[in-house]
Amino acid sequence: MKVKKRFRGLCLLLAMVLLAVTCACGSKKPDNSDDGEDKENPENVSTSGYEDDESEPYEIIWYYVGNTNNADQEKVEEKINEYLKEKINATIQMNPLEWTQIEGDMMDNIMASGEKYDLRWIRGDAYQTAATKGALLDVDELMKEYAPNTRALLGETFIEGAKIDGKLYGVQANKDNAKWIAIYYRKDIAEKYDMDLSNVKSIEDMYPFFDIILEKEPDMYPYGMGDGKNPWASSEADLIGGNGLVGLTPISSEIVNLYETDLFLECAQKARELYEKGYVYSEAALNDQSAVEFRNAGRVFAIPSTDRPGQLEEINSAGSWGPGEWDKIILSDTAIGDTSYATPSFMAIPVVCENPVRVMKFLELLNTDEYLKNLVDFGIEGEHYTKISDNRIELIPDSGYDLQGKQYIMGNIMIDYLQPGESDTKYEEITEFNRTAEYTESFGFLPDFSSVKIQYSACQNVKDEFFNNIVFGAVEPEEAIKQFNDKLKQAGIDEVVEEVQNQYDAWKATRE
Amino acid sequence: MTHGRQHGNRFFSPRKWVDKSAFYLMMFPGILCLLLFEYAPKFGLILAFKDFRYDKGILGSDWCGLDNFKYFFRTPDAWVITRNTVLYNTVFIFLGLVLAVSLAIALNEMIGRFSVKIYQTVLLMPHFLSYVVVAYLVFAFLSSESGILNHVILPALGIDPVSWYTEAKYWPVILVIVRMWKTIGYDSIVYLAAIVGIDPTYYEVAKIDGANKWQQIVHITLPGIRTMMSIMLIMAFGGIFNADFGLFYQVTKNSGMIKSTTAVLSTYIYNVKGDVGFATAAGFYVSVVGLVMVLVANKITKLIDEENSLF
Repeated sequence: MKVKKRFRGLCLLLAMVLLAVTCACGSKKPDNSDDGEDKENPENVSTSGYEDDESEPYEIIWYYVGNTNNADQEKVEEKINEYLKEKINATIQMNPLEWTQIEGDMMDNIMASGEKYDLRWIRGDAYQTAATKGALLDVDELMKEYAPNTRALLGETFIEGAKIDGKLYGVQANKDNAKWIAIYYRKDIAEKYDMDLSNVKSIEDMYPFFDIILEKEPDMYPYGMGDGKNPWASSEADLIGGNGLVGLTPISSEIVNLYETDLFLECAQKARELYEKGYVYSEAALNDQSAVEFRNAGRVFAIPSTDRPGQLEEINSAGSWGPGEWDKIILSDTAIGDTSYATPSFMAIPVVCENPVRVMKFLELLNTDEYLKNLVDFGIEGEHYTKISDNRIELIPDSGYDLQGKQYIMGNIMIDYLQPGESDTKYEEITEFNRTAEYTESFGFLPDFSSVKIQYSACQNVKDEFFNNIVFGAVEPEEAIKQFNDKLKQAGIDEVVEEVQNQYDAWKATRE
Repeated sequence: MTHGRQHGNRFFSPRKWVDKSAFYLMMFPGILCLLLFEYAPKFGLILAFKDFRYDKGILGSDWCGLDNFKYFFRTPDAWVITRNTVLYNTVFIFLGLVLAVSLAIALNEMIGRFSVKIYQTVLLMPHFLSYVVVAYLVFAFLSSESGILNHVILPALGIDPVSWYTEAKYWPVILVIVRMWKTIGYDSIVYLAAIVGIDPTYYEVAKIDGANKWQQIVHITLPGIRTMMSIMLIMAFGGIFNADFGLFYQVTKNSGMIKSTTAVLSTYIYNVKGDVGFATAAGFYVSVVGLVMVLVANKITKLIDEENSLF
C-alpha cells in the first residue's frame, strides 16, 4: 500500500512537470516581443526637434543584404570607421545578412524584440508593413535637414512616391526606376550548340532551344522558375502594394483582385505548359529560391529577369550568377515603371534608433561620398580591387571582400566605380532610361492596409497556400485558381479591393 | 513528542523548512527557471487583445477587443486546423499507445539480451533524428524529381507517378506513418520499464495455474501497466492541441496545396508572420482549449477508474 502511494506521488510530480512543459509550448510565439521597456524611449526622439552632439561618438548598427562569407569584413569595417570617425565621429557595426534572413524571421524577430539597431535595408512591400506597424521612423524632416544632397539627387517626385499617408519612412536607393522584361540565357551554352536566338520574341520561341538542352544537357534545367522568376512576375500586371494581392491590369483602370483576372490565368497556363514540357525544376514550389540556386550552380540555361541598362555587364563582371557567360533577350518594347518596382529598396531608420541624426548623416555620406560608397561596395584599393582609371576598377578574385553585385541596393549607384565590360556611359544610360520609361498610372501610389488589416492578413494566408504552386505550374491552373478565389472571397478580398480603390481615388484626386 | 507535532501538519512551520532545507535548495533553480521561462511570459497574453505597434510597445499599444480573434475565425481555416490538430493527435495517441504497448510486450517476451538490445537501438534511432533530417528522408521517397516512390516503386507496380506535395489526400497516411516510425520506439521503453517492474511472482503463479502466454499478457501485464497507460494518455490529451511542429512543418515542406490536411494550429500560428497580435490570439486559443481537454480527459478517467485519475 505504501509503495503504491509513493508511486502515485511520483507520477503526480512527473505529470505536473510534463504538463508545465506542454502548456508552455503553446505560447512560445509571443515571447519574442516581451522586452516592452526598450521601446519606451523613441518618444523622446520622435518629437520634431532632432539634436545631435557630434562630440559624442556613436555606433551605428547596420543590417543590410551582403555577403556573409567575407573574410576581410572586419578589415573593411575598420577602414570605414577610420573615415567615419573623422567625418561624423561615428563608427559602424556592419551586419551583412542573406536575403532570406533580412526578409524573413530573423529581421522580423529583431524588430519585434525591440532590440536596438540603427539602420536596415528593407524592400518595398516589407517597408510598407513595417511602417504601418510603427517600426520605422518618419525621416522626412530629418532628410531635409541632414541629407539635402541625397534628397536633391533622388528628386521630390520620387520621394513623394515612397510616402505613406504623407510620411516618409526611409531613404530610397538612387537607381533604375523602370524595368524591361527579359530572358537571360547562358551564352556559352548557346554557342556550344550553335543556337541562333536572334529571332526570339517570346518565351514560346525558346522552346526548340529548350528541347536541345533537355536532350543534350541532362544536368541542366532549360528554364529557371521561382520567386520573382515566372510568367506572372514577368507580366504586365501592376501590383499595388508590392506583393500583389490587388492591383491594376493594363486593361483596367480600377483596382481588382489580380487573381481573378484573365492575365493571371494566362500566366498560370503558361507556367503549366513549361512545367509539363519538363523545362523547369518540378519542385520549385517547395523551394522558391531553387531557380537562383540552380542558376548559381550553373544548372540553368535560361532564366526570366527584369532588366535595365548595364545589368548584364554587372552580372558578367561580378560573376554573381554562377559559372558561364550570360546574354539577354529583351522582350518588352518599352521600359515600364511601376511603384512596386521603383520603390523596392530602402535604407530605413527604426524607431529604436537612439541617434537618428547621426544615422542620417551617414546616409548622406553613403549617397554622396564616392570614397565611402566604393569602400562599402568594393573594399580597399590595392587589396580587394585595383584601380585602372579614375572611375574604373578591376576586382581581385578571392580577395576576401566582395558584395557579389549587391552594390545596386546600397544607395546611390551613380557614384560606383565601373568594372570591366561596363559602358563608360552607364550612368547616363540609366538616367536616360528612367527619363524615357513609360510610367504606370498608379506610379507613386502606396496603399495603407491598416484599416483592413484582418482581411488583408487573412488573404495573405490564403495566398501562401495556393500562389506558388499555381505560378510555378505545379497544379492544373483552372481548378486551383477557382479554389484560390473562393477562399480569397471568404477571407475578405472584396473589402481590401474596395478600401484600396477608395485610397487610390483619393490619391488620384490630389494629383490633378 | 514535540517533534511529532511540529512535523505533522503546518506548511509554514520553520522547523519543517530547516529539516527539508536541502530539498528546497535543490528545487530552487528548477522552480526559478519555471517561473522565469514559463510563467513570466504569460503576461504577454495581453497582446492578444491589443493592436500591437512597435513604436508604442506592449503596454502602450491600443486595446482592440476581440479583433485579433476575428482574424482567426475569418476563414474556414480555424475549423480545418482545429479538426486536423485534434484528429491527428487522437490517432497519434491511440495508435501510438497500441503500437508502443505491443512493442514493449514483444520486447519483454524476447529471449536473449543481445537481440533485445539490437531491436531497442534500431527502434530508438529515429527518436534522435531531427525532423529536418526526417523531412529529407521523406523527400527522398516522395520527390517527383528523384524520389524512390515515383521512380522505382510505383513504376514497378505499374502505377502512375503521384505529385505527393500537391495532393492533400495522401498526407494523413504519410504523416501517421512518419510519426509512428519516429516515436513508438521511445514510448515503448516507458512501457517496457513498467512491465519489468511487475512482480514476477504473479507470472509464476499464473504459470502454475496453467495460464498461457496470451492469458498472462491480458490478465497480468496489461493490468500491471494500466496506471502508466492512463497517465500517459492524460498527459497526451493535455497536449492534444500542441501539434508536433517539426512533423507538420518540416516533413510537409510547408507546401501550400496540401494545407487542407496538414495545417495544424502550431504551423498556422507560425505562418501568421509579422503580426504579433494575431499569433498571440491563436496561441491563446490553443492554450485554453488544451486546458479544457486535460480537465475532460481527467474527468473521464475518474469516471472509469477513480484510482488512476490525476487530480
